[in-house]
Amino acid sequence: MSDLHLTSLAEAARLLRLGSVSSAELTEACLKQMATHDDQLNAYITVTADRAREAAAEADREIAAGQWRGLLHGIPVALKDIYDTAGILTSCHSKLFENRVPQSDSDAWARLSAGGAVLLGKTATHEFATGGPSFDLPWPPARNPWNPDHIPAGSSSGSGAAVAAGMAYMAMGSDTGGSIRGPAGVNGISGLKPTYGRLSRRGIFPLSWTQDHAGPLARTTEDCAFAMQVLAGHDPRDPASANVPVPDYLSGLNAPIEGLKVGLCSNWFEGEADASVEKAIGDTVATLKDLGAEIVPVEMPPLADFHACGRLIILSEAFSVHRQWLARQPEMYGEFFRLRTRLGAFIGADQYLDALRWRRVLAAQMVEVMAGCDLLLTANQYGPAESFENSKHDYHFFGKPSLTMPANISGQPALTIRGGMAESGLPVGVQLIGHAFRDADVLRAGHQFELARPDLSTWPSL
Amino acid sequence: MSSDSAMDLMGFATLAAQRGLTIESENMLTRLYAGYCSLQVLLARMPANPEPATDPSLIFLPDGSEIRR
Repeated sequence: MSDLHLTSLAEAARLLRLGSVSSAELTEACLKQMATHDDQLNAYITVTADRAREAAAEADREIAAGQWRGLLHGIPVALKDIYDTAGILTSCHSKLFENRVPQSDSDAWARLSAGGAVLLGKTATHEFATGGPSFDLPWPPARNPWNPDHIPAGSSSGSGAAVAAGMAYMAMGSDTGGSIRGPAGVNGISGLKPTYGRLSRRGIFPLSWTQDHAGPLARTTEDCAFAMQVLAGHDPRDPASANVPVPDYLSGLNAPIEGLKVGLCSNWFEGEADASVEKAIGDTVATLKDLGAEIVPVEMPPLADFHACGRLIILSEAFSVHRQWLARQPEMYGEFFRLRTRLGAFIGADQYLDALRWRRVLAAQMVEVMAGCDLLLTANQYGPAESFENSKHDYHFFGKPSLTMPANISGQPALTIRGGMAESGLPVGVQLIGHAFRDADVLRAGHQFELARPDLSTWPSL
Repeated sequence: MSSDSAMDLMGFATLAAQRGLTIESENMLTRLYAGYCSLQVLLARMPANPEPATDPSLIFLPDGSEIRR
């Protein structure tokens, strides 16, 4: 199969079960893509090719013997390079951690590896998940496979680029203000920020304890559901992990969405987003209506409030994480990281606590507005991916307010799917936000949308 | 610590030192000062009189449950 590297994770898993393909073949398909194109895309910081081949061979032996370890058994995946992996460099894309090799695995990798997933490597990120895109770090920034002159967004930039380019079937990202959904949107893939507390963050280097979420990026929403089934679960060693039963994320995926009530939140982006985003939202509304969903307009609290609240919390907590190193070894960080993170020094304790309290008020307001809806549909971004030339801002967060921040404030699950293509040939994402711990709702709606729009299942020519 | 958006660059340099920051160059100081000025806009959006009973130590989840960090 010539395009095996672009097969969905779900299809690859089905082929593995049927014996139509081996884990070794899936792994080699990804490694070949990486060998051919990653010099241009810089999606990976570390490629664990030998380990991957060994793990794939072991998976094939186990599968042949009927010893199934789970949904992702034999599936090649990647991890953002802030996820600890025992014995493998975990750099956070920073000179500060250029030689850091953890002794234990993050909870996410522990669950994936126990389930038989194959690790291809560790992907590029903005420095410590906040500082890029930067050119003054030990590794170059990842590039967008649809057009390498454009950014793949961030901070899970390498994960987004790797998945879109067929260099992994799924990659893990982290989302503190939109770092899964931004890369998913501009790389034309699916990305889920699960409910806060649904996935453990243990062993993922923190940016903001209050707002950090772990989650998957993959080529389809169904693929994200496969990953969630393996990743979700209580972790008593993450104090924010929720001890809530894990539902079956796959069984409901194919249920029709007829009657689903979707709130359309336009006041966050109307008049600010470009025509490609307006069109993607309009087309998504039309598709959801065709599928039987009911679309109702809703007016959410101002986006700028969510943005300000979330950014103040992130700046305060990130500075607390890095203060000791910023004081002693500032030269170990890139310029963007130093500038952005040092701002946290100028937020007082009272202001930080007020931001945390404001967070709870905003979350309650969001829930109140959504009370009559199953889901919320809104924009994910203001336009397609920016060029690197237009991304040289010291402070990316003092521009337009983040469309992805509200779900980090409320903790609700938020899924980004491809909603359309801009005239430039770059993808445009749209965002579906659900109720807490009803991640299955957003997955079902995203999956049904993708089934109804096979025209959007195209991949970049590299 | 109170914030003063009218603070000039020299005053800001003093504040940065008080906060334990060693800024490596004039260029970085100027750029950080620009960020500091923009930060005041975000701070100004916060509600002036938050409800005293709103406890910041709780993670609020919209299903009604709360997780204590």
